[in-house]
Amino acid sequence: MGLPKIANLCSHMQNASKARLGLTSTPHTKYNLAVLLSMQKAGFLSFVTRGGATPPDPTSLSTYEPEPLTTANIAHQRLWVGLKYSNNEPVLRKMQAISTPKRPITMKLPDLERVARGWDTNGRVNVRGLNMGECLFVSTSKGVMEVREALERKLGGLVLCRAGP
Amino acid sequence: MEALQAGEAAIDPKDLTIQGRLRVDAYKIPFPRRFQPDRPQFNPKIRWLTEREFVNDLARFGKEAEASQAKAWMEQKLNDPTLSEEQKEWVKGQLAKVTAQAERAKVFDGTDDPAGTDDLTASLDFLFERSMLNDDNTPSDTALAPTLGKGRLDDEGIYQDLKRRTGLTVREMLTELTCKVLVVRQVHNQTRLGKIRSIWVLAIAGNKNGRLGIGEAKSVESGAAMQKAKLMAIRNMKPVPRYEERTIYGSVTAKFGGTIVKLDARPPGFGLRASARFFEMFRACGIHDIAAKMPRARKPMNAVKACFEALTNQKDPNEIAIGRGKKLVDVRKVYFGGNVL
Repeated sequence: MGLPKIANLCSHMQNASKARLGLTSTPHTKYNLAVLLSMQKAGFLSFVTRGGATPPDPTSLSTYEPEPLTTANIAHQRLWVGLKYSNNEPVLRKMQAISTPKRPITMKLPDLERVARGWDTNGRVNVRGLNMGECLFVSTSKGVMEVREALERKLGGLVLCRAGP
Repeated sequence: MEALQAGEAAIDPKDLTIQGRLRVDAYKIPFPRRFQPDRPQFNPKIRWLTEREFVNDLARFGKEAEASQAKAWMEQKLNDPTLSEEQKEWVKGQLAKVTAQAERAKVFDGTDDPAGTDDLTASLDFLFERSMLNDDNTPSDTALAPTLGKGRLDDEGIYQDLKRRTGLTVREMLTELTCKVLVVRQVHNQTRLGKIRSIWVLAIAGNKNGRLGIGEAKSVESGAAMQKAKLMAIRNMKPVPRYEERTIYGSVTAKFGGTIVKLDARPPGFGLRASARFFEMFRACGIHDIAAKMPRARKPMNAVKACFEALTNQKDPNEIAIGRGKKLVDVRKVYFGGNVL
């Protein structure tokens, strides 16, 4: 299911941001890729690309093409991620997994609406409302997306993690 | 000069006030610091008086002053019913003399007059010996006889240092700022001779319009400690970001020691639901709707410091938007068409 990797990803991204790294790498999994891409779409990351054991060359990053996946190289692939800093402060400061392998949390539309408006959920699951500048990433039947996009498309699903300044 | 004036007129004075600054870099244009039309070096029509001209000018002023004073005295005497006709005739004669003298004084020039030097000395004597006794106690601007002013705001001069540091006037500090003592503690220094007791004070200062400061001070005298703490609070005033000038941006948490303070933004009309010390802090910085919680330790000193940290370290929505390259929209403002507050 890939959920343990999400918790690892959250901790890793937080640590990298605290260490003020410009570039970091994560294991190449389906969920990691989906979450990182939607985080880039939300503006938390500068780039996400697949690569080998060494990072892609920063000068030719815009035209970089990762090598095709084969059964021979798939075990050594990693996701290389660029972190963003603005005004000497990290753009991504907090990242926290909500679903855990032991307790996956799925939410339907009414609950998601509450959370997106900043109110805590009441009832079955306990998710705090979003604060200013926070994002919630939801895995829906149409892929992983930010909670606001999910609401627009009227989709509920598995609540993966939250990220914020 | 005219080119400079035309250039200056072309610039919006508002821009000049906001953006204008003196250059200190190596590539600055070597202009004089200020262009003033009444300065002799920029206006050839105006020149300094020579030494002789200056002395004559001064003497003329002294003579006129002397004559006008004598005239005033004589006119008063003419209206005096106790004087005899004979005496009045004499006064009239003197008055005519003095009037003539005053006329002459207007065109006085020591260089042409053979008796000029004596006249000069006499009039200068009159000027320099002028005092409250011979000028009817009229107000004077000289350093010799300063007038007694009104009662000053800051007689003891305690706000002068602060005035220089902050740029606030004493009146602003005394009337517009709110200063409050929030925490007082008795502290002791144990020496081999015994305990030395002092009073430790934490005070806040705010302008009720988005600025807040805290100051702490210690003294043997409680009054001195409070005064010092308030001054420090004014000195430490920092801007507090306020959403719609009534509440904070989102939820903020700050930790100081074992104390955690959680502040939450609230809708208009909610009021200040917070402990007494926090209430004073919010009121001092002009926040009207907020909820505050202290889930852990509630030591007064740490609570106030944590709250100050939470208020001043709020996230700026514009910074977040710039960092992410996204446009953050204030939904409340959009929904109400900007008609909030």
